[in-house]
Amino acid sequence: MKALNASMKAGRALGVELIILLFCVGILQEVGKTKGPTFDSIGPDVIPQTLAILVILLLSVQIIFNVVELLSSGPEVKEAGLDKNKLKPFVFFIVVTGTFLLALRLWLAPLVILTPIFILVATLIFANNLKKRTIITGSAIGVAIGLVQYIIFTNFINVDLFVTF
Amino acid sequence: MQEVLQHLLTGLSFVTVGFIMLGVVSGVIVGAIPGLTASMLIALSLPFTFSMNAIDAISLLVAMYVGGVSGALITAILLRVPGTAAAVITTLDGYPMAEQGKPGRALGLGIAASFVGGVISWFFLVLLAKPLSIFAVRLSEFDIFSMIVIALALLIVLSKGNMVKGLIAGLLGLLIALPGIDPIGGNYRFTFGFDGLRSGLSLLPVLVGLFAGSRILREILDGAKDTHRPADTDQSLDGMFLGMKDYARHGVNMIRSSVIGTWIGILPGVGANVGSAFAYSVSKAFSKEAGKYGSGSEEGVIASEAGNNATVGGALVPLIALGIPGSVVDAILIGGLVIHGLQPGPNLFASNPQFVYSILAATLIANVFMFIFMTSTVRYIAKIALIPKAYLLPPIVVMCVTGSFLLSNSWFDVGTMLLFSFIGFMLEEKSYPLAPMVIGFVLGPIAEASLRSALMYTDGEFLPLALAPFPIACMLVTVTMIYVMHKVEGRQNESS
Repeated sequence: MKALNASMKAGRALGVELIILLFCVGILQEVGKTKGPTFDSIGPDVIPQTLAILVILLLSVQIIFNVVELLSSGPEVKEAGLDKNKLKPFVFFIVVTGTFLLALRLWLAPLVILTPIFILVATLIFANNLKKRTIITGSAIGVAIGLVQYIIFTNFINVDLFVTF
Repeated sequence: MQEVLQHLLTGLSFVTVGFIMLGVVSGVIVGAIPGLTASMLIALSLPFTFSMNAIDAISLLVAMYVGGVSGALITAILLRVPGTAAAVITTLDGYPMAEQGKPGRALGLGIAASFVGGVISWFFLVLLAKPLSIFAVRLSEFDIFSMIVIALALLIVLSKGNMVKGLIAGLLGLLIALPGIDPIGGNYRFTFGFDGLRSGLSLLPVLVGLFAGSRILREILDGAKDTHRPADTDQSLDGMFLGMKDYARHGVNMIRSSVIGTWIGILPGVGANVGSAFAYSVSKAFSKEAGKYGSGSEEGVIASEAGNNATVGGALVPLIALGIPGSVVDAILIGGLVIHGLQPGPNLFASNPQFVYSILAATLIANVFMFIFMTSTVRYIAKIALIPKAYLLPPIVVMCVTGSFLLSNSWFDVGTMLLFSFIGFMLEEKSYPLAPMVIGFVLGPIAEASLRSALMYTDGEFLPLALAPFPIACMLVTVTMIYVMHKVEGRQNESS
């Protein structure tokens, strides 16, 4: 269990570096797949390949530093960034935003209705309370933004979204 | 200069002036709210300028830039909470002045210095932009490539914190610009099997994600902390209007700090915060009352504000003359030019002179309006800055989504925005600077096309290109600049 916790901590500390590393490996994997004629002496792959290798080398240095730092700081190492109490609204927000996007994508309801609902719920998450004042202000802002969007998207800018009924 | 003045008097329509005013007002308000930045505002507003003509759209965005840098001083002085990083130095003397019962005087000095800084840097912009663009038209492909490499090198070396992280961020920016159409061969590459990547990642969703989306994620984890100090905004603001004696007394400091800010602004990626810090330390070095700095010095407020506002005009010089963004906001403005069918670069002056002169005129008008608006509404803006973030952030999320979608009516762009929100959030968590990444992303395709075109002339040989006079001159200038910057920064650290 301890080993699992340690590796999770290390993984979190290295998260962003590992993602960039994966992207660079992806670039290297795609090298040579560009189809079509080449007009210049170095072609379309040399620069991307060089850049990806450079980033991998630099990231390796960063990863080594991070691992050494992690190992030397011991078990009392401070949990960087994510506090469990703050994680809850973070996850709620992600779920609510995902639902809003899905509803828009699937044309489940028009923007003029979805926007006020989303803004109200998001306001409650950000404010972290259910006070009457927060609900009224959040609703008012939501309705106002929904109407502004409705006016813009029906009069000035054409947008391929479910704007109105 | 004559052409600009002509556009100032006749070239701008009432509608354009209206957009400039709107830009300044929204920029000042956003700049005053801690946590919201001009780059966020401009990135979010860009898609909504689609239906406007290019002059109106870019004038609006430039006015937001001017307002955004200026507005930050209000909360810095009254609440000790700088609206943006550019006003951090202003708090050192501005807030002590407010505590000593002189908030009006501090605000008056700050606003006047911001105005003078903006106007002086505008003069430099007008004087330098055209000659530079005429010179740049004659540059070869490799000269352009070396200029971009040097811009990126400066950006990375001078970015705060870990230089290796700056370098990784810059290279990552170049890498994410790769997917799409090969700039020389015209073939699709690095699409990873996604049709949406065939035209590459669009600038706007990337910017919105990095600067607005990531900020929102940060705010949720921080609990959307607010500044609850409404009592401070009820202080008397007497003494806000300066007399001729004040201008005469502080004139040298204002001009010197403005010139420093302008030149700092011209350097790639060195933002308004560095401009104000530099101007402040030089001002302190020349002051007869250096001991007062940090405890309510009028000269300190002036140096900081003239320095940070002057970076705006300075940063527009390489953007207009060379098509090279000097800052993150410039990178967004380049996106704006492209969206409105204008090709950024040295040919912009020759192909669209009316547009360029109009933008130069708009920059001056924005500075004048900023002065009038801030002087007359400063108390109310301070109160707006106290609106809880819980009410401000949800509408920004909606704007992020619809703004990204608007670009090409594509859900792929919304996905890109979401992805870069998380990437930006994670990079900032680990202290990777975002500016080199954005500038690398904007300049990557130009750099690659320039290098590969140049190599066609030399049959793939690098040496003749690297030994040409212009790249060598650029290299020498860069090394000198880095040396001087580090020297002054070292002195600043010693004195603090």
